[in-house]
Amino acid sequence: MTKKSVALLYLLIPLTFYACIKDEELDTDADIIEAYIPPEYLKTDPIITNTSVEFRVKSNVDLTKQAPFFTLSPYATISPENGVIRDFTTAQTVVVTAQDSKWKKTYTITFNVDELSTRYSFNNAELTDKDRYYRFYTIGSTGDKVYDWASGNSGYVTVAGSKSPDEYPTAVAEGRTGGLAAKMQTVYTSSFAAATGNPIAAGNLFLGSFKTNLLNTLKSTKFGLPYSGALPKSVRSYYKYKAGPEVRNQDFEVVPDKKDSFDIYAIIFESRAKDNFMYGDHDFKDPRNVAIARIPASQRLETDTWKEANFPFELVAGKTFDPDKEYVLTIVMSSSIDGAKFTGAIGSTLIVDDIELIYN
Amino acid sequence: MTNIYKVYIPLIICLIWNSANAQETKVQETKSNKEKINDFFNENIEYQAKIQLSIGGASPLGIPAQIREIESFKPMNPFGIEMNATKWLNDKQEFGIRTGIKFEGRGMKTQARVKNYYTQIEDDSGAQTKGYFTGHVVTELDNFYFTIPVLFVWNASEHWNVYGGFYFSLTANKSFTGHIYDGAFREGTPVGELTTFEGTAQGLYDFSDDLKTFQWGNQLGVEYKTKSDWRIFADLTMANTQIFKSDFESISFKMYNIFGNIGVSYSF
Repeated sequence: MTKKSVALLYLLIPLTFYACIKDEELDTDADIIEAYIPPEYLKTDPIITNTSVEFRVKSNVDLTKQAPFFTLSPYATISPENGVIRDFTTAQTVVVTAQDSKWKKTYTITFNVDELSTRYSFNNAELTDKDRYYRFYTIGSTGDKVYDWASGNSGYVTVAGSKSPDEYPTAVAEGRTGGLAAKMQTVYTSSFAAATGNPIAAGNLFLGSFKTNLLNTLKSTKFGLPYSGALPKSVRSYYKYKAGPEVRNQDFEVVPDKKDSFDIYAIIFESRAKDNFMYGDHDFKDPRNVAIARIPASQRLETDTWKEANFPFELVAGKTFDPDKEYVLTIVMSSSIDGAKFTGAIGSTLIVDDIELIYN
Repeated sequence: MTNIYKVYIPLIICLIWNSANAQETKVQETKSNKEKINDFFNENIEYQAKIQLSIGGASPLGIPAQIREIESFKPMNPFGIEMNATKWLNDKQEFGIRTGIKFEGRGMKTQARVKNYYTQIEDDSGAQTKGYFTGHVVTELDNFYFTIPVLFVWNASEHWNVYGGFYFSLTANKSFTGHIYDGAFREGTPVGELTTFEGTAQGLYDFSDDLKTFQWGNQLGVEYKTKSDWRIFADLTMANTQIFKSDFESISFKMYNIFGNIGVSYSF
C-alpha cells in the first residue's frame, strides 16, 4: 500500500464519523439567567442560585402585587409567564421548562424586606442539594427561610464525590449553649482543581452569595448584603480553633515553620447600583471600604473550649460613616487566614457561634 | 456486523465441504504418530511474520447524538507484530486455518464537541462527580493487547488470499483517559448545579481500570502475494465485546474497538 493511500485512510476515518453525526437534540438548560423588578425597589442585585431567586427590597415595597421578569436559557419557557402579578408576601415558585420539555426546574422566588440581623446564632441549618451539605438560615418576618450566610459548599460538590455533609468545608457543630454552631474546615479539593492552583479549600461562611466559577474560585464568592443603620462599635463572637498540621501553598507545597490560623472580619462598604458586592479576592483594598473590623492575632488562639473574640470597627482613612445612607455589610469567617490565596493547613477547623454586631 | 457473517458463512461451508471430500479420497497410509506430527508441522503449512499499522479507535456503533462534531483524530501507538501459522487443509492448498500470536497497540486521541455528554470527572482522592457536559472532550486511548487470531484462509488466486474469522485479545496495558474543557458541566442531571469550565480549567477522567481485560471480535482481510515471500495485507478488526466492563456506567453508550490494519508479512 502506498503512502498516498495510507494518507487517504487517515482522512477517511474522520470523514466517516462526520457523515454519521446525528441531528442535534433539544436544549436541556432550564435556568433563570437574570431577574428583574423595578430597580428602585432593590437594595441589592437579585441573588440567583440554581433553584432560587431572592429579591432584597426596601421596606416600603408592596409585596402583594409584584411581577418579576426573568430571562431564561435559550428556548426555555416559564410558568407562570413573565409579567403575571402575584402576591410575594410569602415565597412563590416558578417552573422553568427547557426546550426539551422533559427537563424542568422549580425556582423558589422570595422577596425579602427584612433588615440584616445584628446577631446570628447559627441554630438553624438544613441539608440542601440532594442532602449533600449544610446551609444556615434564619426565619424572616414573613416566616420564610432567609439565607443570609453563604459558603463555598456548592462549589465543593463537583469534587466531593460521596463525602458526607460533615466532610464539606462548611458544616455544623454543637453550639455553645445547645443548638448548633458553624464549623469551617480546610480540606483538600482535587487534582484537577489543583491543576488550576486551588489544591485546598478553606471552610468559609459569609454574608453574601456564592455562585460557582471554576476558573476563578475567588470570583465565586460575592461578599456583602445591604445594610442600613448605625456604625457598629465592634464584632463579638465565640469560637474554637484547631490548626491543621502542615500549611500548604497554592502549589500544594509545604510551607515550613508556618502555623495556620483563622480569620473573622467584617467590612462595611459603599453601596452601588451594579455589582453591589465584593469578590473574595478584595484583599481589604477595595476603594468602597468604609469601616473594617478584623480579629487581631492576639485573639486568634488555638482553643478547644469556647473563647470570646471582640474586635472593633475602624474607619478607613478618609472615609466617614453616614447613618442615613445605604451601605453593604459583610462578615467573613474562614478556617485558614490565607484561604483566599489557597494557602492553609488541611484539617484546620474553626467553630463559631453567636456572632453579633455590638453598638454603643 | 451482519455483513461480516455473510462472508464467513459461505467460507466455512466451503471449508467443511472441501475437507470432507479430502477425507473420502484419502489413501490409507500407515505412519507412526511421530511421523504424523512431523508431517503436520512440515507439510502444507506456512509460517508468517507480520508487522502492522493500525488506524481506528474505540467507537460507538453509530455516533450518538451527544457527539456533535469530531474535531480531531490522531492514531496512537499504531504498531503491532504477529507470528502465525497457516495449516492448509489439503494438498491443493486452497483452504487453510491460521492462528498465531499478535502483540498490538490500539490507541487514539480524539477531540470532540459534545452536547449533554454524560461523564464522570474524578480526582486522585477517589472523589467522583457524574453529570452532563456540553463543551469539548479529549479522549486518549492507549492500549496494548496480546491477541490470538483464529482465521480461515482462502487461497483465492495466484496473488490473493482472503481470510476471516475471530480474534481473542487480552490487555497487556490499559489506559483510557481524558479531560473535559471549555464548556458547562451540570452535576447529576441536565438541570443540576452548574459548573463552567473556562480558560485552562479542566475536569479529568481516567477510566483505565474500567476497561475489560478480555475481548473478542471478528477479523476480515486480504493479502496480496508478491512474487517473493513478501506479502501486503489489509484487514479490519471489529470487537464483539465493548471495551468497558459491563457494569461501567460513566459513559452512556457502548464503545467497541474498530481498527483497520495494514502491513507486510514475510512467509517462510
